[in-house]
Amino acid sequence: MSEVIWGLATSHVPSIGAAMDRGMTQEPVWKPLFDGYRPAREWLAQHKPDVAVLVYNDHANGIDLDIVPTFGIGTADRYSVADEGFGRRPVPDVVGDPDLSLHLLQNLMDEGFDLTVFQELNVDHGFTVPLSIWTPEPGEAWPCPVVPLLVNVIQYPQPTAARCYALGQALGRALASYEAPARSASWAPAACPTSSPGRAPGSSTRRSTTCSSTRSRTTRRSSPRSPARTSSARPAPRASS
Amino acid sequence: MSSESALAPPKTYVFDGAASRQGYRMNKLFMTLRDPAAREEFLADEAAYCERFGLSEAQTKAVLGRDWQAMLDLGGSIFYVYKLAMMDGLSMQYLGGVFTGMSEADFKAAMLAGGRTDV
Repeated sequence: MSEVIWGLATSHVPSIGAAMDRGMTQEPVWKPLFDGYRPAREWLAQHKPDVAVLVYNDHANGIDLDIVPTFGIGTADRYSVADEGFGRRPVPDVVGDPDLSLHLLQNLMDEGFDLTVFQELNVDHGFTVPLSIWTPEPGEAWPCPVVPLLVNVIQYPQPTAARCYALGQALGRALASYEAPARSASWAPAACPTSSPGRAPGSSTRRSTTCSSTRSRTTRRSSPRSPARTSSARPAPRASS
Repeated sequence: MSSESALAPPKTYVFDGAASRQGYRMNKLFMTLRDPAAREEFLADEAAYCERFGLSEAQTKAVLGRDWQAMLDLGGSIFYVYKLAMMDGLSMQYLGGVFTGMSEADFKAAMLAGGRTDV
């Protein structure tokens, strides 16, 4: 059975990744944000999961407007980092976990969530920025495999908050029932809409920074009949809001 | 933009199904600009590139004239329009300034000062 060991919620605005990639994190405008991440990072570094699930939205990089899936899941063993038009971020490609993906797909479909399946997916800043916040210096590879779970926020109507909440609950149940072969699993939802500039002259040019992210660990149980441990994530370290 | 959108916050755009239908070809053009070869091709003859993608006359005019506001009015999604801006070396803050009638520097300063609080 699997256990959720943590959740991370963070903004994923691309400028956060750019600030890290360009060594600007200690500049006055950025320092407060990155100082805010520090306690979460220290805690997370000591609680390494075996796998993460990252809930996010694409921004016209992995998907265009031909098809707009409301919910989707990646089932690949590898996801390339997208070139969003200014060169790809200097971060590693993402190793997936197809076995967990297919387990989640089956269980979530059984619960009534009709997921679009991605066998190929380029992941953009919505995906890599949360990973960077967790692991600022990944080196050659991210700490563990990651499963992408996509939520449309690009084109209205988007799924309701109630539906997203229900999906998160179903995801928790699906993870709890996962029996990984000799390894643990963890998960990290991180969905974050970035609102766009509006109409002049009275436009709202805010960027929403709400983003949620969670992860967990799968631990092997001695008895397969042992009751599924409810994946009640520990209090999520709050990285930013 | 659809005035019949179920969600109609004041003074902002909702990129809904109607907007996506209206801007489909233009957004599709913008999507291709991720590819360096496509950017070269576009820059070599922008009008021909627009024609190939079947943009309307108004959309073509907006793209050729870099009329960012018109692109939004004609169904552009900011995430797609931004790809054209990036190709031109412009930032999201620059676009924010265009959409709010400010210079890029003023827009940045306004954001650092806390952004808008009246909406």
